[in-house]
Amino acid sequence: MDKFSLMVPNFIPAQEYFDPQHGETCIGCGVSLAARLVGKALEKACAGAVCERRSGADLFGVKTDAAFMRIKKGKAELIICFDDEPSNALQDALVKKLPAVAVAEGIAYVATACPSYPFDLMEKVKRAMDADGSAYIHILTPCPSAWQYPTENTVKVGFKAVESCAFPLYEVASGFYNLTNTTLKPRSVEEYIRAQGRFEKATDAQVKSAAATVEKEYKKLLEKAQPE
Amino acid sequence: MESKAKVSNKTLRCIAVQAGAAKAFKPGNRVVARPVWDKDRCVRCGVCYIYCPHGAVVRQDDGFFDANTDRCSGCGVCHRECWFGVIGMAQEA
Repeated sequence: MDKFSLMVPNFIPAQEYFDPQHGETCIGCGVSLAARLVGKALEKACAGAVCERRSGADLFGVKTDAAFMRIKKGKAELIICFDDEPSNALQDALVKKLPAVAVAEGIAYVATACPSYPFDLMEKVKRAMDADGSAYIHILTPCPSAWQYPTENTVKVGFKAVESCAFPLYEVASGFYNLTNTTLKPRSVEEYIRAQGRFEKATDAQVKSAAATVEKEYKKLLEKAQPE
Repeated sequence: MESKAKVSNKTLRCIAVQAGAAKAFKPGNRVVARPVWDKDRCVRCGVCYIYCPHGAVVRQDDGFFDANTDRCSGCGVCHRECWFGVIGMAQEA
């Protein structure tokens, strides 16, 4: 029976490399879920991982409050940003500067990921470790306490962010864009925004302009991803 | 506990990576509900295992899953994500 059953744990290492007892995590923490999956993808390489979080940290010349993890790999390094959107502004939540800046900096492998798609995330971390030169991965980690949604919806909110194209999943390897979310039925951006308590006071006009922003950004990305 | 009602700024900016921030503290200490598996209907797919934020879901020898009470924070992600609705949340007294 075990041979034919759809055992998800058979595809990933059983050991837990991330121990939340040594830090502080909230109930239903998205950062915790992402860090756990990253640890499983890195396996032994995560021994050299250094994590830090401080307000106004400088990453590629952009000020960010998000947490990030640096992993040495040879002479280069892999930077993983756990973005839980500490600024709480609607525009900041929809337009991500850091991946674009990383591409412009000439980082060899840039990717965006979300822990709602665990195998996608782990595959990207493995590819980043295999890439020649530095790599950067931007992970959207829903945060129940700051985004103000029920703790059990951590994974669902991640699905909504990706399927509404507010946070498209893609990877850029040596200048070539590859979209990795193939959503056949996109959700509306309104659904994603209304799922979060922090945007409770957003008016319909603001939501509409947000949807327009998302559409514009996604079109830009689609153009870049077109094969020449 | 008194601290349950308050959400300090530090907790809002919670991050798992600060070493030594809360050594004596375990996520399981502040639980209000725990997941309970219905073994008759469970297909042992392991979706609960992969989505658990704290790695609290452990696989037992017979292939079924159970929660590690030290790690489980009672968030309910496994309950929400289970494809077959097998996992229920039992309220703690």
